[in-house]
Amino acid sequence: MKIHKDSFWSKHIFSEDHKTIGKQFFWLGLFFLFFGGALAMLLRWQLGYPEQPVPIIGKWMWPDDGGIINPDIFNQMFTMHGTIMIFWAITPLLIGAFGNFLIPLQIGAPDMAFPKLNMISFWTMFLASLVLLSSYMLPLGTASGGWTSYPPLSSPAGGIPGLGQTIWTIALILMGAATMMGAINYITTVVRLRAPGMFYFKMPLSVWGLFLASILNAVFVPVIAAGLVMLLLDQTIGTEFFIAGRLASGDPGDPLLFQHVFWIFGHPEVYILILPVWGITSDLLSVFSRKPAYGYKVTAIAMSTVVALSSLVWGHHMYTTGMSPLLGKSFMFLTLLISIPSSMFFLNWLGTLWRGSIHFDTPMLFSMGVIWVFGLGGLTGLYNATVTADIYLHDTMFVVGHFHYTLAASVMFGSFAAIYFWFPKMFGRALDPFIGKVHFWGSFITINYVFFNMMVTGYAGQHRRIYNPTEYDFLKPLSGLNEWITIFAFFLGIFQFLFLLNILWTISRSKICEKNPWKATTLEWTVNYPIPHGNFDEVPIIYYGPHEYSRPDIKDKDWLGQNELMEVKKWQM
Amino acid sequence: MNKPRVMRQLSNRWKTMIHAGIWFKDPPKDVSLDGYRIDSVIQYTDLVIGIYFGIVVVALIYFIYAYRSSLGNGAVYDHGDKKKNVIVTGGLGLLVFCSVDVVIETIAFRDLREAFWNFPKGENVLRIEVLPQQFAWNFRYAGPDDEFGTSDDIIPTQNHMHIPENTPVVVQMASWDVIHSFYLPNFRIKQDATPGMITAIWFQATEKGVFDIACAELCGNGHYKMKGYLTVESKENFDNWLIENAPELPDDDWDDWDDAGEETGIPEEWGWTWKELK
Amino acid sequence: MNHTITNYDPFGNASTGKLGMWLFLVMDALTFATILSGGLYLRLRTDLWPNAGEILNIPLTSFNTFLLIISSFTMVLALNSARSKDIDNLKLFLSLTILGGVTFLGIQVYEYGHFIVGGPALENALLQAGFSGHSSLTWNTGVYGSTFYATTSFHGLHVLTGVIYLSVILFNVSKGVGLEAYYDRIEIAGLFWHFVDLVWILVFTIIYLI
Ligand code: HEA
Ligand code: HEA
Ligand code: CUA
Ligand SMILES: [Cu+2]
Repeated sequence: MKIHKDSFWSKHIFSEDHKTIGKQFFWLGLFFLFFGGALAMLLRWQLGYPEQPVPIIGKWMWPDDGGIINPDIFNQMFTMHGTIMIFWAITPLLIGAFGNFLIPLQIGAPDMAFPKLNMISFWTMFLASLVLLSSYMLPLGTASGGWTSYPPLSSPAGGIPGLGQTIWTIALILMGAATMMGAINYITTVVRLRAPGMFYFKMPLSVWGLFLASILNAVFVPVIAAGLVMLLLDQTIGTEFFIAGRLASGDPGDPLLFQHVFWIFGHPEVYILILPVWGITSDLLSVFSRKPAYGYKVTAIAMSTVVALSSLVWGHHMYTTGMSPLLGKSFMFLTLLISIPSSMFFLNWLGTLWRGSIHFDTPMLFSMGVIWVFGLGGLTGLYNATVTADIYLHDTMFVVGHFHYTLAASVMFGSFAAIYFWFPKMFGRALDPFIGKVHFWGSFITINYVFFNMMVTGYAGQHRRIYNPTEYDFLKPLSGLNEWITIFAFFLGIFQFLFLLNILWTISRSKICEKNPWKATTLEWTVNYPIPHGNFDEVPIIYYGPHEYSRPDIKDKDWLGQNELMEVKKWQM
Repeated sequence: MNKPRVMRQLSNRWKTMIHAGIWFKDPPKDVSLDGYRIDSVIQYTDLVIGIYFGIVVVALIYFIYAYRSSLGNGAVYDHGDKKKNVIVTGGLGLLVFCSVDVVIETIAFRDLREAFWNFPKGENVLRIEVLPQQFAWNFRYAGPDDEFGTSDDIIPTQNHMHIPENTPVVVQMASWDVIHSFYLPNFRIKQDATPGMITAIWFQATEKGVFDIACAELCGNGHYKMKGYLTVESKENFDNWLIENAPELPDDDWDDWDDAGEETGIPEEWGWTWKELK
Repeated sequence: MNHTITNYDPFGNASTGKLGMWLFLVMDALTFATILSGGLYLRLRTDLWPNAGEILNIPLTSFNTFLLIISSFTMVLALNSARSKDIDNLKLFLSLTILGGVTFLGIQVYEYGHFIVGGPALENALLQAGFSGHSSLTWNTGVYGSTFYATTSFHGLHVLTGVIYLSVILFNVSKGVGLEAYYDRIEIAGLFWHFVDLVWILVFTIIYLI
């Protein structure tokens, strides 16, 4: 197979090698994860200690207000926090970094189908990041209409001063373009470049998750892209798609149109983020239980079913907009249907552990953490899905708690598991297991406290996106709890710091570790670090599924690589 | 110095903090006719979800304990893909679906039919129009002629809404500028008010008192303090209140009216008259 | 050991590049679908929507439609010539296709100019349709104007892209690339062009005819 020769530029900057691009996405995502996390810390400060000066950095950041976060800044912060976490932290980390890194390696391909497009995708994303960050230079600040940016609030008629909202829209359109390029690449790669024998039902579930997420990206990012372009036109040249006249008097634009477009995309988007995590979790549970993933096919099909259903349920975000009763009921029914396939692969996770031989390495701890937090997060979705309960719970901290359990906790834990697991392949070195375990237990305890109690405050009525909950009498009893959540959130932040230190320390200090430290079966573990541009010396041929652990018919080891042809009497494929 | 007192204060502070940190918080007091329906569907979900999540946790802990590799046991080579296994997972999935989803769906649909989407009609229904703006609530009552958009409409002070006890109230709303959401925590209801369209919700108070009205949809930097007060009072007090707020004779006060609008910032045009619901 | 395991590939004949283009077209189609159905949705909610022909010049645009269909046809001819390695005809038909696209764009620009400059006739037509006080049709003329310009200009951008794309192909062909290897590229460009034409039929039907 062709091995490429590269100069410095083509090797590290404008590389077309999927592994380098994956690493570029990795650093981008990590940077924004901490950026968004720091914003979360400030948000928590304001909610726990409303209108008190932020310690240490407050005086320096907002001298005019005496170190106090003002309402404008607060709105900007949660808007940027949500936007950054979803589109600039998790998407690059999971889809960008692991999508790029894993798909070709796990299916035995030399590279992506369109390496140049892959490179352009990263640099478009980079440009989008610069555009997004540039809004911090604006005199009137960044966007502040929430990550959902509903018009008319997000249009000039909404009264948000300055250009922040426009820059936000442009950044998102660029990000969407990058994502679409990625989707073309991933889908084509999986369809075309699988090594001989790598049938669809022999692919690791991680690839399944990433593949399905890419399909959702391909279908729904164009929808939001069109919506955002229309929003941008409203913002800049004064079209009137989403701007209704005052009152019911009948200028013809319609704010609800944007909400429909947004959630037709937005609901699948949350599955885009979690599908890779489902796949990765399924694989890792199997590796560390030394046992085949329970019901592999069922899991793959269940995930595909969720993908199909996800396009039909967007209305559950809009129960309180005044939709017709029939629609409301249909959306509730369809939303609840999703719990069937979800429970099936969830049970398969438990099935994998059952009668396994469980090794508690850091990636495993995080994967088991996913079982816990996704279980809770998914189940709390049912309250939201109930039309009546949602009349009360919509736009409260309960929803915020629900989606941090699924989005922040599950997706972040899944990403951490993936990082701990594949770090030896990406950077040749294993992350320190002790710090890793401290990171896990610290995060697990604090994250549960923080997000569970967010749901508690929501159930007690606290609505979201409010600068100062103590404004309301009915929320006064909650201020102690809000303070506690904040304290725990700070500890959560500190544990993430530990994680960062672990990464930096490992990269700079550790020795190159062995090729296959986890004794895993999938193809990426068959190549040595550093993996050359072009990946495999010869095309691997695949004989087995991705989870051949503890086969009774092999004696000296408890795993069998996907491309290891075993000399046995009756070999099954 | 007076050390013990400082200690006592500190320990009191700790007590309250600990109390604040671990006690479950109740939702605001329910003072509505149908709020209990929402509480009870939530409680049912709590219960069944608690059971299922409990099972998951117990299983998880048991697996961690019984199948840890340090016991030295090998794993069982089982793909779990036999027909039997698939039927079991599918069956359990269906079980969860039937015991949770189907039940809450049935409850929810019943409640929608009987209460939330079953708008009351008839003589004794009080109709109120709500016009939120950045960042205040405006209310309009039909006045003596029972029609909106006439000169005897009653528009009380911003952010103050009064209703009589035990009377069904239908609220119609449309927004003046951006999307707001009319949120009554004590009544367990919430309804978006969107520019360009009319939405409606209804409720009935069962207790007297003053309750918070909050805005639940992000509407700008004043979103957090866009609050109002809902006073529930007896029929007589309510009628008196209406009379107090009634505009003076329409003929000679149109000019005052405009001035008043400028002073209070209340938009002068309401733009829609009551829309009969189908 | 010689194993011949081949994966089943439902897109067996298509080149990888073509597969990529197909995917792109699916995504592009969804973008158009969103804009078009968004327009229809807004239209349902308003009375301020002129009837077909009240404002837009249907005969002129029909001619434009005709042009695009012809250019699709010349594109097919270009591909045929490429397959039979007939460089001269290939260049001729590619040029004709590009010419069709350019003319289409020219007419669209003329149409836009006509609407934006406006005049008493247009003012009258707009008044008939319910837009009082407008002497020209711009993207600010109600949601109708917004929809009209957004949809047609988005399509216009595609035609422009197609023209540039085909020009690059024409340039490379004139420079003398090996047609053997280049044929696939031409076919992919052709796919894009046919797609742009096909979408126009939809845009034309929805914006101009109904
Ligand atoms: C993947 C998505 C994701 C992730 C990972 C997170 C992570 C976190 N989020 Fe976020 N959040 C959203 C997505 C996400 N969130 C979205 C979409 C919204 C809605 C926005 C909107 O309303 O428009 C939201 C809104 C939101 C709010 C609600 C604001 C409101 O409506 O009033 C809050 C409040 O507590 C919050 C908190 C947190 C916390 C504490 C974390 C923690 O998990 C963060 C973990 C911490 C780190 C990763 C930080 C790393 C550490 C440092 C930088 C060192 C500094 C340390 C110290 C100072 C101690 N988030
Ligand atoms: C990764 C992200 C993610 C995931 C996976 C989900 C999953 C689900 N979500 Fe969530 N959701 C969000 C992210 C996510 N959500 C976000 C970001 C928002 C808010 C956006 C905003 O407004 O800013 C939101 C908001 C949201 C709403 C709107 C609330 C409102 O605004 O009022 C609703 C309503 O129906 C909902 C429902 C659901 C449902 C039914 C699922 C289902 O898919 C869950 C299915 C899973 C299970 C049902 C659990 C698995 C099964 C078991 C554990 C049982 C097994 C046990 C035994 C067999 C013993 N979500
Ligand atoms: Cu009005 Cu929020
Ligand atoms: Cu959703």
